[in-house]
Amino acid sequence: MFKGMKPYFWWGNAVYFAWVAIIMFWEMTTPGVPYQVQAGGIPLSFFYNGIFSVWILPTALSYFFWYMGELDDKKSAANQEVNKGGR
Amino acid sequence: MAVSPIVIGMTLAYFAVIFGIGYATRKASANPMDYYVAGRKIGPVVNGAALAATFLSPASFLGLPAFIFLLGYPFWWGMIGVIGGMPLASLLTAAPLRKYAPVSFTDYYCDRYEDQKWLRILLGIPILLGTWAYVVLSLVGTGLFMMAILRIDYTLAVIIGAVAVLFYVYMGGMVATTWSTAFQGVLMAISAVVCGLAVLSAYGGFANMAAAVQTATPNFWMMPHAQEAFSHPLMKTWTGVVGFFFVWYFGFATMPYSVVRFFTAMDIRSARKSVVWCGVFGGAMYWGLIVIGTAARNLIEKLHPLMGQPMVNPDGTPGVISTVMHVLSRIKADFAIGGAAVTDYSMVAAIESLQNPWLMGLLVAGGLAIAMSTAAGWVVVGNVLLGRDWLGKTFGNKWAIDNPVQALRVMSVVILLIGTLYSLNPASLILDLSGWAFVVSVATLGVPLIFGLWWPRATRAATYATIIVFFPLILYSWLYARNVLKSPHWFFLSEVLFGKDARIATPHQIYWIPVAAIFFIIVSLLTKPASPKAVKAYCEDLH
Repeated sequence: MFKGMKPYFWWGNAVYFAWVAIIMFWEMTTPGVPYQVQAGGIPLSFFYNGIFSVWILPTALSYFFWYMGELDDKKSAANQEVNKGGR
Repeated sequence: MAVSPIVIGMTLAYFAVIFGIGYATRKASANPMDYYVAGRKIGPVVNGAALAATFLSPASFLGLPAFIFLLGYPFWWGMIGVIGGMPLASLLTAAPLRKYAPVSFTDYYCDRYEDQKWLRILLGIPILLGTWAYVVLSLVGTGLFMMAILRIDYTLAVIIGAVAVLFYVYMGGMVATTWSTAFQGVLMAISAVVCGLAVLSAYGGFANMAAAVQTATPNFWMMPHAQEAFSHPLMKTWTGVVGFFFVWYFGFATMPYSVVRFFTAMDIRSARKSVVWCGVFGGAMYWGLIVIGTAARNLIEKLHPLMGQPMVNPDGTPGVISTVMHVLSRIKADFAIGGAAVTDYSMVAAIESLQNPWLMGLLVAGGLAIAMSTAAGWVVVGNVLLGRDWLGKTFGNKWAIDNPVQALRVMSVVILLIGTLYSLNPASLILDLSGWAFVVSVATLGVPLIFGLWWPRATRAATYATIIVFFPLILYSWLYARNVLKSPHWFFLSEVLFGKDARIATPHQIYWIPVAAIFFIIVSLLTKPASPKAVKAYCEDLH
């Protein structure tokens, strides 16, 4: 099952879920976190969840998957050239 | 309240662009491949914006800020899960399905599981259910936006929305749908971000807004377990937060209306990159919605023009509008749209509180954009299913085979006609059914799709069994939770397992999708696999 899936898919998702689990656990075990933990009077939750988790992290993860796919494509193209005796 | 000419002007400009795209792409009808999959010429930015607008429905634009309004900060996690599920599609479905390059959503299943007739019919049932539920939901959203902001008659608003969608889908098929949906994706993101910034500006920044929300509703920020109080009974335990995180998490990679957009990408690289752009547009919109939903209750109470106006109390005595629920109830009573919930108006009322016609104009354009794009996204899934897959391929209808574009056009008319009729006075059950359709689609269509792509042992029998078993089972559990426990977000076996009046918050996705996946694996292991040729062509070679 999932034979052929790139390892970076699992690594990327592991990092994503580690982040989600750590933040969720922190918020559920430390009283008042989403509002009382602040930076410059602004609740930190606006930054780590309101911007980072909902926008930056998923977009960065999609970009990472796309970028790694590009590298894979380049490697396979180079291998094909070698196999043809081109380089 | 009078409607500003600015709002009317911005709405007319929106419709002019939409009708213009429909007219400009009319030549797509000359080539069925253009009409089906936009000739597979769509680049990543356009496809990404179109993906965001298609996948995110009025349930996002109206419903999610309303959920924050009701459930408080813990629901932010639900919204994080929606966008968080997008990257999965990049490698799970976008790249392999674009490599395979099908025409319709059912093509992959029929080739992979070697069954061109009965499987196509069976797959069509959950697809048509989703088409019906989401087209109705989207047309109701279109009507609500136009009625609440432009003050036009609801029936007329729904008909205008349906005619506009029909016009561009009819004229240019997938080409028109893709370009208009991409425009709508950019517009809805701009609309939500600008409205979010305006809300922050009204408070003087994040810090003041957060403090105002904390003062007015101290429970808003409370996560379960950390403190004795909680923001809402559904968020009393961790199962509510984790459950809502997963509600929409698996949808983007597997739902028919988002997956078909990968067929239109110009190549595999473009399909993968469109997921990145989808996150850019969708994430931006969600940031705006989070800000608006967080401030909505406080903003309406502080600034809404209806506050302080006279009202009639439920016992018939005169009173004054003094709470947010008074405002929303008054709006609901004035508009009286079937089963729409009172909180469905909170998003519009929050922006209305700022009393800025430019913002209202942008909001109506953004709201119409997200509603109409989802309706169009489902219509192009449904018309291919009915006109090509069922009528042509399954039943061999000569007219449909000889006139593929005409067949799709007729089916678009049929779908939108039925959707419009159900939208005119929608019962709350019908609006809620889109939630059930979502779970059913991911469990019965998504599971066989993912395993078909990534597991050579996946079988046709398991696909049949998963659809036949989980379609009614999820309907039963969903209706039981909704009608007996009074919310579809309660675990339907709460009372059976934990005693009378016990309530465990677990939206259906968190258990039905894993259960359907395990069921699929077990049945696959017990039944005959597909031929080695099919496994190689439609599983191994697509990686």
